[in-house]
Amino acid sequence: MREPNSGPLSRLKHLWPMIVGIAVIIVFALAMSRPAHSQQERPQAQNFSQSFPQNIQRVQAETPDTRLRPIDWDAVERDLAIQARRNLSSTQAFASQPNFLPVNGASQEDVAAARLPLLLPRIRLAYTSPPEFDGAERGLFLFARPNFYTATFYVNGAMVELMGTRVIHVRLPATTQSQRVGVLLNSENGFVTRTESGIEMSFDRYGASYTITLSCDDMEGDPRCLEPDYIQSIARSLEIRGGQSGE
Amino acid sequence: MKSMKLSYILAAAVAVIALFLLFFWERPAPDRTPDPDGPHEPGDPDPNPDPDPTPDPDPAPPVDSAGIEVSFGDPGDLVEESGTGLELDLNFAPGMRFPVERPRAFANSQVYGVGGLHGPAGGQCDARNYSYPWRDNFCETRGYATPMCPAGTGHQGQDIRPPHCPPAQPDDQRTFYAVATFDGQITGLHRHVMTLTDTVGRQYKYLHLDPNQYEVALGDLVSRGQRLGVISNYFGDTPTTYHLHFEMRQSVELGGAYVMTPVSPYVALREAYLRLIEGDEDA
Repeated sequence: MREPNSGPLSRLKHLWPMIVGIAVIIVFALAMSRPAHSQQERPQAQNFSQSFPQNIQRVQAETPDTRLRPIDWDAVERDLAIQARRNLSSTQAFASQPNFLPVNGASQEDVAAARLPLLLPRIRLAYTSPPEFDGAERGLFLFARPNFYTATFYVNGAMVELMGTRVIHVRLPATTQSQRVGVLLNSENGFVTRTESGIEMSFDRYGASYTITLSCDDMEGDPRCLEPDYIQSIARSLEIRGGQSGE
Repeated sequence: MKSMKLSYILAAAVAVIALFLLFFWERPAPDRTPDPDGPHEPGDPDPNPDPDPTPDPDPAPPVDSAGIEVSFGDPGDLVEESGTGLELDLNFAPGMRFPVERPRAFANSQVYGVGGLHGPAGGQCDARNYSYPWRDNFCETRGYATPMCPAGTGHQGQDIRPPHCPPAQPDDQRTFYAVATFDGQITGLHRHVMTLTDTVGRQYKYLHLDPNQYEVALGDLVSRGQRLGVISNYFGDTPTTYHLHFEMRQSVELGGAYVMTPVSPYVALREAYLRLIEGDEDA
């Protein structure tokens, strides 16, 4: 026969002060507990535009216009000498030779401030507006900045844009794309491709990058915008017309 | 009696320890970093309940000028079977002004969109072409050599449909203006092709502008946001869909190679568009 005080309930009877004490402490603790961070530290609602994208790692673009490609001015001088012997002239005679196109848009100061070789075509029949327009004048538009320039002119049925630059806008790690670009640019005739507006040619020279773009009135029927011959003839006609080392 | 006394002593000891912990043990702050296991289901208990019962207001989803909520596909996520996109989340032109004046435009494919040469049957004005999400179409299958594209060839820009399709009233043209992305100079203008060169030598090509409605001329200096022309379907003798073909060209150093080449405009367009519809630009 079991004794009246030997069951589990009778043993709990001796522990009730401790159980009550723990319960009181827990309730008190919960009531008095406070968050570890203040109201000011709570995260603010995110700007929605900053929440894109979520799945692709962001790559930061480097600040443009802060990095420049070095120019091989020794090579420029060598080619200038060859050009001078060939033309019996020099870049000092800028825009004064009858075979050179008159230049609009840029001053001699702009040309003198250029820190890359200004390559311009030696073409006679080029105009500053489409030749069928009234008042079309022979020449080209030159927009020169210290580290890049563009030259634009019109020939019958097409516009030609030339861009030269030594600015590095973005630098990306070597990939299969870079190998591809290297192969294309080092090919004998430069890198020629059709585009949505015509055809273009890219090449490196002296450390700068040059691109010739041709837009035709009839992109699907004009052979100048279908085959590389014409744009390559423009590239072959390029001569050094300005630019100097200023570094 | 002895066990009763022991119980009181134990209770007091527990109380002292608990009080000590209460005042000197600071609970760790809730972890606000993203949960590596992904988002919780709506019914899951919150592992870090917010002691402040006032919920944070959710950021209002961005809407365009028609009040439609905008959304965007990821960079490089092209329409299925339309080529391999460039999965690079890089803004090549931070701070760019969106090239369409009004805060409503639809970046997506023309060729692989509804009514396109390789798209589902329908017309160019199908509502699916004028809806979100945007789709990247830089590097979409084309024969143009484009070094930045994974395939080495591809579409060299992003196609953007205007606010609506096509202009039903002559007055609708006012909503179709293309504008300058940055301060710069118009260095190319011929038929439906315009080139803007900015002050750091980056170039932007605008195609399919109406040649009869240009607002600028070759050589003009332009300001960021200035009207350039009207988006149309001009494409020589054969009209295209109403859209702006927008290209960005930059000089890129890829390893040791250096080339002025088309770069993906998609991320720059997306961020510029969000700024525009959120009112951070002069619309």
